[in-house]
Amino acid sequence: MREQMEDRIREIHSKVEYMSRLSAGSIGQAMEAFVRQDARIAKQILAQDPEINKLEKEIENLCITLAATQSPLASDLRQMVSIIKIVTDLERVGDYSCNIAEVVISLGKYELVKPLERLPIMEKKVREMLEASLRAYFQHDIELAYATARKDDEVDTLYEEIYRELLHLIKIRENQEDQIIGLILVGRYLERIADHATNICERVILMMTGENVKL
Amino acid sequence: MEEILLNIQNPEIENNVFDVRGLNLWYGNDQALKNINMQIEKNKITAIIGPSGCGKSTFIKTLNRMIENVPIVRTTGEILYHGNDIFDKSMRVEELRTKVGMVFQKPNPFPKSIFENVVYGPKIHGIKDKKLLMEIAEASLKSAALWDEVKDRLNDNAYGLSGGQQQRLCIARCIAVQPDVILMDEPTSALDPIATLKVEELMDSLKQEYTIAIVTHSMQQAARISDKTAFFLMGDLIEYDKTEAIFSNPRDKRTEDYITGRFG
Repeated sequence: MREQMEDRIREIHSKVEYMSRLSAGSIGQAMEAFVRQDARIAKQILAQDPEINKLEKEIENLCITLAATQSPLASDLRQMVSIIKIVTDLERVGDYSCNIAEVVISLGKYELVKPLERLPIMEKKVREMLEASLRAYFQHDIELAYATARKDDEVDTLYEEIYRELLHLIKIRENQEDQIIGLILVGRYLERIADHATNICERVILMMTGENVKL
Repeated sequence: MEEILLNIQNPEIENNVFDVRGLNLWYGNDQALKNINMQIEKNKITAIIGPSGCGKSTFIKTLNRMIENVPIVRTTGEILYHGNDIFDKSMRVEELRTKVGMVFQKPNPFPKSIFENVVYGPKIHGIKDKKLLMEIAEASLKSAALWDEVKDRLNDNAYGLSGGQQQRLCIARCIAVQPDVILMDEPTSALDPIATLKVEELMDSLKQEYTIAIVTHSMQQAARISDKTAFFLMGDLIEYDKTEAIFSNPRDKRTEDYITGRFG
């Protein structure tokens, strides 16, 4: 009976791994589209999103079946609950990448109001946070979960700086509000992705320790 | 451990129906229970789980000294029942077994009518008044959620009842002598799912008035119905805690391994 449970968990895990790759990958792609002002890449991101959504549903259903047929308890139960929540976070990350893609498409080709400096830095931090949170999950690493969640403050601070600067710019640059708002939105979406990475860290801690923490 | 310390430092004896202290039990030379310390709380359902041979049935049968029906049994330690050691010479075993009733895995009604089954105990206690016996029978059968099904055939032989009904009859029989505690040794193992459900629902309502301790092989049953769960392994009490803690986040790895099916 235990073997059956292990098989089902392996199946769920391989789908979670795949979904993680797609989801985390979409952030880098979105940023690339944004930096290159490349609507083609942006459209690819939108085209890939249904796959991420489909995976979320598949994984949820597998977890429900697992619950119904195997009645998981203790660490098995906590792991299953964590998976269900993590795939929701991953699906939202995919959505935010789509949101960024939509900004790219709507802005088209434009002259930069200022060189993009901090947004790519922010994207890198956020992508690393997400990847680290997923590593913490796959490797059952509580220390890494806590350390990764702590980075959220850095991301928030960075966004705050970007936001202030752009808000200032919007007052003095006429006819470039669209672009500036686009930049603000991209920053916001990245900041939300970081929040989801923090959520994933919380799930890891719940899974490993049973404690429901807010990081 | 912390839980036990807390109880000793904060002696609300009223809350604990049983206080087991340093209980050891041997079948001849084989030690079946090793230094068991635990309290059983009033008006709660305490589940006792563990793999075959872990000592759970032995333990529960010690609580009303039924285990002494096995001649080679020897015990040390104390079991305080409302503060009184049940092994003390002054304890009257028959009275103990009235107050601490027992229901077994295989329903064992007497080969008598339904009515006679229920009133057997009260009659032995000297109650002769027919009206009173009828009242006791009705009250007990109602408490056991069986009255509606049998009220028109109280004189039918108990063997004509289904397995689930027979088990509820045994519970009614137990209740008729006004116990304080009901011990149950895998009471639904021999029953179909619907009968099991009825007995579980019954247990939930019974705990308002009685204290229940149940030995069960079913993790799901223990998780569904009990307030506290004790995990036994090879004669040792490994972990004893609130049921939700045991099944969502057990402290001991052995408990975790057992309930997740890695052994047992």
